[in-house]
Amino acid sequence: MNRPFHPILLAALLLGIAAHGISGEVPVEPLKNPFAGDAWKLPTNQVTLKNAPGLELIQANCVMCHSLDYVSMQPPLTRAQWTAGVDKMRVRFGAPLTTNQIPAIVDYLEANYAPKKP
Amino acid sequence: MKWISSSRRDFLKRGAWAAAGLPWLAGQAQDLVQMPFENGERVMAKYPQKRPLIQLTSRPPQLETPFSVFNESLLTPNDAFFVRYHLTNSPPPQAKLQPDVFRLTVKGNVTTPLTLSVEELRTRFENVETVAVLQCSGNSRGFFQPRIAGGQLGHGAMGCARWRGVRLADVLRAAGLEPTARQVVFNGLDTPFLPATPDFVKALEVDLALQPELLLAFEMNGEPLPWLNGFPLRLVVPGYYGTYWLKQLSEITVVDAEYKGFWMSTGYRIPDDPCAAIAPGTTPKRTVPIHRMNVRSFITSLTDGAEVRVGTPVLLRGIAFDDGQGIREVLVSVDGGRRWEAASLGRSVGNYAFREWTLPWDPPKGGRYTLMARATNRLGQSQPLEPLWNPAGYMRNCVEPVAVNAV
Ligand code: HEC
Repeated sequence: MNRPFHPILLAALLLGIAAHGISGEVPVEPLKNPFAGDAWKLPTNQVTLKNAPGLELIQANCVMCHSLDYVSMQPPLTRAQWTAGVDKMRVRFGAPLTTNQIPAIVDYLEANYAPKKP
Repeated sequence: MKWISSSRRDFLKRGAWAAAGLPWLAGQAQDLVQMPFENGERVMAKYPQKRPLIQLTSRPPQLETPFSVFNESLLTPNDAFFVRYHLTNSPPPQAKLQPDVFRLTVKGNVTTPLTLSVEELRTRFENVETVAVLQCSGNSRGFFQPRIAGGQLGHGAMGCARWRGVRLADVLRAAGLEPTARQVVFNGLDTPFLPATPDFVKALEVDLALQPELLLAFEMNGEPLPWLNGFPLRLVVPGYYGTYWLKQLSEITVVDAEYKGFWMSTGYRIPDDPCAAIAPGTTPKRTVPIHRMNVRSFITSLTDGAEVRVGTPVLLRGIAFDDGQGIREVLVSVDGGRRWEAASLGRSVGNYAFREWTLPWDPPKGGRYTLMARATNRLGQSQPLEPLWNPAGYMRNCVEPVAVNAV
């Protein structure tokens, strides 16, 4: 735990700087293409939210642009904060919501993702 | 920072995790970690070209570097480097990134618009390298009190790499700036799901864009950029927050007026005062786009809750960085900030890089010790002892105490 930084890495780092400096040179080798022959897949480990009344509203309105971990990772937020958040989705990011849909969505978020009442 | 939940014993039982000194608790499965703040449970997720990283979100991907990585080397390995995208279609599909398909265009208020492949960029312009820290504006947001909506990050949305590319200034000069040029606008290939969502576009003043430190980079630590870190081309703006370091950079537009897109005029703004801070919970009177990084330092060799032995000296170690002025001094306290001692600074690998610091420490007697590191740069700028606050949760840079037990 208390070793100094990896000596080889550090040496490579310092040598690299000495060799290249900030002065230029014309490269000769072609660039590597890491994609050659590869088809990489992103994981599809989508989370879901708490199964409670109103979840279907979230699933219908909140998954087209991003995964639901955007919601579940937030700290507990008050009703006012959730309202502002959902309004930001509508006004700033163009979520296709009408203002009268928002209270029902916020009901779900407040019931499941707000600070615990004492 | 404190342990949460009762599973501290679970953590200690896990030899590998404990040895790595991770500040989080291992959960039920090997692939869960608990960040040290409320609602901080995260999956360790495996993405292409990456080791398992702390997943904040999966679509688009936002991945954080486990903090123990910063104790392993000054350069953050590519496979551990954090990932931050904003828009749904990110990273852009590989078909658009193949060498024969991907092009960078330079247009707008220029005399000679350019369309260049990465190979053309690389062979036509001088190749240069710089070692620089890339840090997300919202790094450490999870520690803000009161908490703030957004990416709930620990300290792992930062990294230091050796970037290789060509100077942005050389490319702009080849295109020939018109005298009316005022800002340079950057766009990448990531796109939103709906056209109504503002594209992720950022702008820099022309004077800044012409500084020789700014690179159009195609390599990171001697390898092509990873897909999730911008392959095949990204902007490198040493000293500035990551929001400007556009990935899969495909379009540079020189404009004669201030660019007013969402991610400049509404997103990524800070209170317009020298500390970028206001009273917690209030609203700033005036804001400006976030810009240069402030001074930070971390203890990396010991993490919260670690045990040290009385009579066995340990080497306290960590990193410090700023926006490129250069670190002048790191002071270390082992008694919660009452007395401070100067640490030795490791060799500098560049003013924009992580700087190593070390200080031997011999715990004199058993008990609890609060360790702190505090860096100062060559301008005399330092770190506050208490956290500052702003409404978006940006730029945390206070001293981060680490509590250890001597036995
Ligand atoms: C039209 C696209 C779109 C829709 C639909 C959408 N969002 Fe978002 N959302 C975004 C974008 C863009 C971001 C910001 C991404 C970033 O900065 O990483 C975001 C971010 C968030 C965040 C993080 C906090 C923040 O403000 O950045 C939360 C929470 C969130 N969305 C919740 C929701 C909820 C709840 C819904 C359904 C009512 C929803 N979103 C629907 C586009 C959308």
